[in-house]
Amino acid sequence: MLKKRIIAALFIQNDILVQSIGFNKYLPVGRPEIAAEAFNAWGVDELFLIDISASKNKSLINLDIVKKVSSKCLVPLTVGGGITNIQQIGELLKAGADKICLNQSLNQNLDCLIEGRKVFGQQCIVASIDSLKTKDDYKVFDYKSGKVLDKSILKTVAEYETAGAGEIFLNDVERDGLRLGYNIELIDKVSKKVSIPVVCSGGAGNPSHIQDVLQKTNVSGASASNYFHFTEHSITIAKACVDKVLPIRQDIKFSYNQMSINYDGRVNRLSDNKLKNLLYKKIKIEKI
Amino acid sequence: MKLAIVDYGVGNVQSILNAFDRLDLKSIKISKNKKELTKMDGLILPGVGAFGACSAKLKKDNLFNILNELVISKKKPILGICVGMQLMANMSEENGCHEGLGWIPGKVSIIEKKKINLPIPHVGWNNVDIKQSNPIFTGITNKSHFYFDHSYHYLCEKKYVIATCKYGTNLNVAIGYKNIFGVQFHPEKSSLAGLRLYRGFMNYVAQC
Repeated sequence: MLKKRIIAALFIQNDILVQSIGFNKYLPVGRPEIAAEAFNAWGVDELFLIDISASKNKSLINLDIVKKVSSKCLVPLTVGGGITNIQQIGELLKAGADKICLNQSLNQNLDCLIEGRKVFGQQCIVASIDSLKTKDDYKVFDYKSGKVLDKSILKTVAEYETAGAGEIFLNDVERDGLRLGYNIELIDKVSKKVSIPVVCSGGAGNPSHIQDVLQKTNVSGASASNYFHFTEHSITIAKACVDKVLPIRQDIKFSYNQMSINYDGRVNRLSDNKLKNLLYKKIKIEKI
Repeated sequence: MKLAIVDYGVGNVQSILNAFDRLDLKSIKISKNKKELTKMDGLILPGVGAFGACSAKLKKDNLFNILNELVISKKKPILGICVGMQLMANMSEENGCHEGLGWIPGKVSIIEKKKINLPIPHVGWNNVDIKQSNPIFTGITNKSHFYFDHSYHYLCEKKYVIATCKYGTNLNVAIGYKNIFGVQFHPEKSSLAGLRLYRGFMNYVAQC
């Protein structure tokens, strides 16, 4: 059966990997290719690489960074940031992207999506949308201007689907970086509205949040960013937790399935007795 | 060993190069030149995007004829990936009717959303059921996960099917006939299982 995906989103700003909080505060992490390499080794299912400063700077995401990240990446890589035409999509695919994520250009018109779909196929185009809750409805948030647009989220995702998007990448602006969990209500509505795969983002702070959203909604994947950084094996541990409630891909050589993990996604210390009897098992190195 | 990726202006060629780089095969070429392709021990036919666009580009560069000669007459091993595999069919129904290479009798049709009641495209990691032993699956355990991203699938006779996967219905995801192999998933995006598959193909090429 098809497994739900656990995705790590790498947000970069002026070529530096950052943690984003509420779409307005940013903490530097380091070089994106180093995070990409670690997340691959920890068994991530997919990577998103998004330049959040590109549209504001009216530039395209740095192709050199895409090349560096893709050389470390043995899982699908979706790239976004400042894409406005299909020549740029071609350049990014050449640099090692597998899918393209459009966000800002879709607020103007759907030309790039429709053209991109024709040339590169539906599977190649991910439509990203930022949602903000207003008094009565979830509306599209335009991060470039910092304003809420008068477009309902549900209507807009349906438009993206009709125009030929292959997937929806759904962001919740309010929850970004707060680690309070995903917006289950919104995600449930969106994933029921469209019949293409939906990936959700915004709010993950521990493995149980990921477990929750994958179990309670129809999303195809859950993306997290901030909380995966600065914790050793964060993705492997998250997968061990999710594995308890639904099947997930665990193909790397180690897992935390047998370990006790606390609420924050950290491994609990083993008992003295267990530590005393711990034996090392030799695993033969596989040469592929 | 000399391998080449057939260059016809489409496909995620960089990721395939990255994967072979991990397998320490540095000498892999990207080419559409007949002379150069003739010198190779094995070929990789990539593909991303729409079938019609891919098939038109292959024809434009005269690669239909060149590939037919190399693969059918000279029996060079070839591995098709995603649309590269679909191109091996007689025809595809993606956005109208398009002609394929016709190496493994079959046609490419859309996965019917109504029948399976699941999102289309089929995107993500799915486990693969190996139906018959094949050199390219050497060292791969049954039910290994591979990464898929497609809306169309290859319909052909059972005898050509190496592996299937379940997505509402059984999809043919790896096919083969003599020196011709095709996989619907993306080995270059399928972590270690994908590397094992490429190694299997390389070992097969080395034996030929």
